[in-house]
Amino acid sequence: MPHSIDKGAEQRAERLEREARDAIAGFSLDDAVRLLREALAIREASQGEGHPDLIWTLSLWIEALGRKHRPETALEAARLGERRLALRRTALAGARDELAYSLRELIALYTFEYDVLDAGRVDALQHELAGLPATRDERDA
Amino acid sequence: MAGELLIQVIDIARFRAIRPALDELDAARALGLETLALLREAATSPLLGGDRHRGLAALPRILNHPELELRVFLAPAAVDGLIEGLVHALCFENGAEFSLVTPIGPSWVVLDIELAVFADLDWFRAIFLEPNREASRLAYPRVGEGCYGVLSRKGVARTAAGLEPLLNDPIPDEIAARLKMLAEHSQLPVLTLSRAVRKAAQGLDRLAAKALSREELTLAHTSLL
Repeated sequence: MPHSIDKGAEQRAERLEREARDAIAGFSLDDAVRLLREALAIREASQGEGHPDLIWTLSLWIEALGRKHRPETALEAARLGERRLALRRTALAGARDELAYSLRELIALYTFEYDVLDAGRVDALQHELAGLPATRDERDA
Repeated sequence: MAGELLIQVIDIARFRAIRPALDELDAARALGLETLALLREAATSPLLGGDRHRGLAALPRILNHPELELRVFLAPAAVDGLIEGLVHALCFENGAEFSLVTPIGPSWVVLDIELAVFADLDWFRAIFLEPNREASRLAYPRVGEGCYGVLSRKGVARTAAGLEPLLNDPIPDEIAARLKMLAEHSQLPVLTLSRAVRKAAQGLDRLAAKALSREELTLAHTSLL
């Protein structure tokens, strides 16, 4: 069933995301994660779990976790990255070159310093990437 | 090295003109025709490719898919980097290039050890260093190392006036005393330090004169972390 449009909820989520972005810039990473958890819950409830607006919330959350630079937060970021990729597959259905960038971003999320956090998953992503048409920067290389 | 103060010439009128586009990019939604035109202009800039414009790597991706909202396919850091690259490429003289190896350049001054001397000058502290400094903050880039303060024309004129004693011979007594103390502390010959301060003052004076020569120009400064 489609979700009813709740402009107030979307505005609240936008505000929380803006605050989180500032918190990330100021390295208040726990605050950022708290704000983004709330923003995501609002968006899920008001827009639905498959809405493309959730991508930005997840991207901010991934960025906050990445800046913590710890193996456990890296894995959490990769899990959020999986969810973001699932949303991007739909949102970028007409932009195959951009899907390649998204796959590479997820592979990077599964890599913490010199460790691969889930080798099987990274292999699968690389296999999928190899099957996509080359992106413009690859052709130019 | 860290904590140096970088001072450059910025075309503030150009910044104001592109501000609506920067706001639109910052919102990371779909872009309007004017913003896309600006991105096309930036994509053809001969300055592209330098270290100061790394963020513009996202430009071809955006121009390839003008129908997409930025937030769908770009990470927040990529959006911030894009905005920073645009401001550098389009608003700063010489694309905001500078060098730590050549601290006094045609469009920049990097104050390193000399900053300890300049920081003792009331006018300099008020304009460049204090929390309630006379410069206001440039709206973009809003995050990270690239945040800038910008001087009003009054601030630039005050900078030019404040530099005068440093350009004259002999150097004022209180500055000479400060140079001597700093030279002892840093184990540098006082003459070396004094030359560095003089050179920095001349470079900054040149930038201030350039900024005052055209209404649309001013000075911008940022701390190098």
